[in-house]
Amino acid sequence: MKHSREYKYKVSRALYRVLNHTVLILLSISAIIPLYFLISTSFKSREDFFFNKFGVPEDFYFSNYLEAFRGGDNFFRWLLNSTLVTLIAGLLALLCIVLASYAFVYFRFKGRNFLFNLTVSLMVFPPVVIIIPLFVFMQKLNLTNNIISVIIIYVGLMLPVGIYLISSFFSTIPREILESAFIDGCDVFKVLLKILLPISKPAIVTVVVVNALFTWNELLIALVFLNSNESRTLMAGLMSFKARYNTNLPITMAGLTIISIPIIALYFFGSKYFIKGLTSGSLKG
Amino acid sequence: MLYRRKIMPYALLIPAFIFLILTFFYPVINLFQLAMFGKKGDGYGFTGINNIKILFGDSVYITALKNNMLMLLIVVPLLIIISLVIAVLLFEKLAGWKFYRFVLFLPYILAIPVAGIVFQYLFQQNGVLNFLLKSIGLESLALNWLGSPKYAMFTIMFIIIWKEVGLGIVIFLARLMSVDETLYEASEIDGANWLQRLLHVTVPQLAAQIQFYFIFSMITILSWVFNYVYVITAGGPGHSTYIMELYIYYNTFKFGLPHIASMASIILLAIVSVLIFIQYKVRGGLIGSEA
Repeated sequence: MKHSREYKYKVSRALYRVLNHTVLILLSISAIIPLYFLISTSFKSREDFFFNKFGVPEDFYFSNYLEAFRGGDNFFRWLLNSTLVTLIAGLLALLCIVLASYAFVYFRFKGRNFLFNLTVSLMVFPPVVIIIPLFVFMQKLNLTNNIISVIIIYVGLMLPVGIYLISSFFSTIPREILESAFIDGCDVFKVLLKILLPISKPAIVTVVVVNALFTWNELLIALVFLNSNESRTLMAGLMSFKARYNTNLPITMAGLTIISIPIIALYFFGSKYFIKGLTSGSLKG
Repeated sequence: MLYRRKIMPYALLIPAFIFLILTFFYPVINLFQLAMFGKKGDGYGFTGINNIKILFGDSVYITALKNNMLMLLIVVPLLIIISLVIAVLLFEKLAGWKFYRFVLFLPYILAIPVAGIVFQYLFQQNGVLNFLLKSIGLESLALNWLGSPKYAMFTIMFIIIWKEVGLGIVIFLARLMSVDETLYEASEIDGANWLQRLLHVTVPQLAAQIQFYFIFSMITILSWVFNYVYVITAGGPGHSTYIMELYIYYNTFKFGLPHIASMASIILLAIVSVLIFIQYKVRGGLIGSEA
């Protein structure tokens, strides 16, 4: 009797596992179907796509990619703009984030808690709310259709999350490490550069990754502030690119794949930084 | 150790606050001025809160509000339930759980405009989904997913869930991995089944994360769904998929009504602020105990 009960238990465990895997495999498939469709279509010729909507490409037809670069007249320019915006805004934001977090965590001053809470609560600010005043503002400064406008706004939008992440990390570093350096005669900036930053490498990589993801993928601000063809980023250019190739789906998909490659590549190499960065707000408390 | 310098901390905050003032504080103050102005007689002038009346008299704005509320009611609970169940499935020490997590989180990092355009081609009337449905004889299921006012909003909601659910999964999974295992062993000895374990062990242990994700998803639905709607339906067919963000954008840049849009912005900001205020009261902080 005992034997058969154990046996039954084992069988039900095994069945449960099979069921569990089946559900997860189905979910995984539905998670990547659109991605599969995107990439497989980008390698199909027009005829191939006409007869074969969902299967694998008959043979790899690379000219869609050439056409996307060549035909989307400003595609290279958009790529350059997106890269510049991501790099410059990312660097500026990181500088501001590190300095501000240093002040919030290691200094005692009037208004510290208030300013910190104020900054962090801006994390949930709806970005659409700022576009009207800022559009008028940027127009006055003659900065619309210039990537400087979106760089400034992106830096501002990235600060609350970044300051929150880096401050939380700073406050987990044991104070003794800093104290001994301080006694050794390091000044305020030396402590930051020689001690805090090297320890904080993982948190900083996380913030850099989260920021790059945000800037590269951002559409609304880019759409509002970059209207001329030469000033657009990839996301803002995408809409006109799509309208242009509306009848040639494989070329549209090739363009979309090119845009997504940097992010997907980053994710393949550092998925743990993405997962950590995008979830770390939730694990406290 | 805390430095006691008088000027240094403020100096360190200056770069950040230059950008914060420019992107957040200045626009909000300016918004209140803009919202109080409007058409007056022949030109423009101070109209007080008259723009609120105009807003609530505009059926398109009401549609937008209703759609945001509909999404809050449908998308937020579904996101929580689906990601919770998947996280629990992944947690059962299954071979390959890291691979599943990697794949299931992938949609979350994809750009919304990219995902939006791909789904648009999948869900069009003569798109790939309907083509596949027809080819296996399910003609009656080949609906006009995006072109009919009846289904378009629900199709967008499906796409939002597809894209956003990965975040919930990894949040819940990360917390589950630190839950005391004896709790599960005890419940197993007591003969609790899968559902009982989920409701009586897992959910209480995850209460803080569920609450966080609940607020986070509500904020997402209120202030971060512009990209989806703009790319997939642009508010159509008719005005059936309008949302508050799109209303603000179109009224400013398409219809030239920035004063009305400013008032709509203030209302959106007010709704989000109320949510945040509740969160502060309930948890004593935005996210938990803060620095």
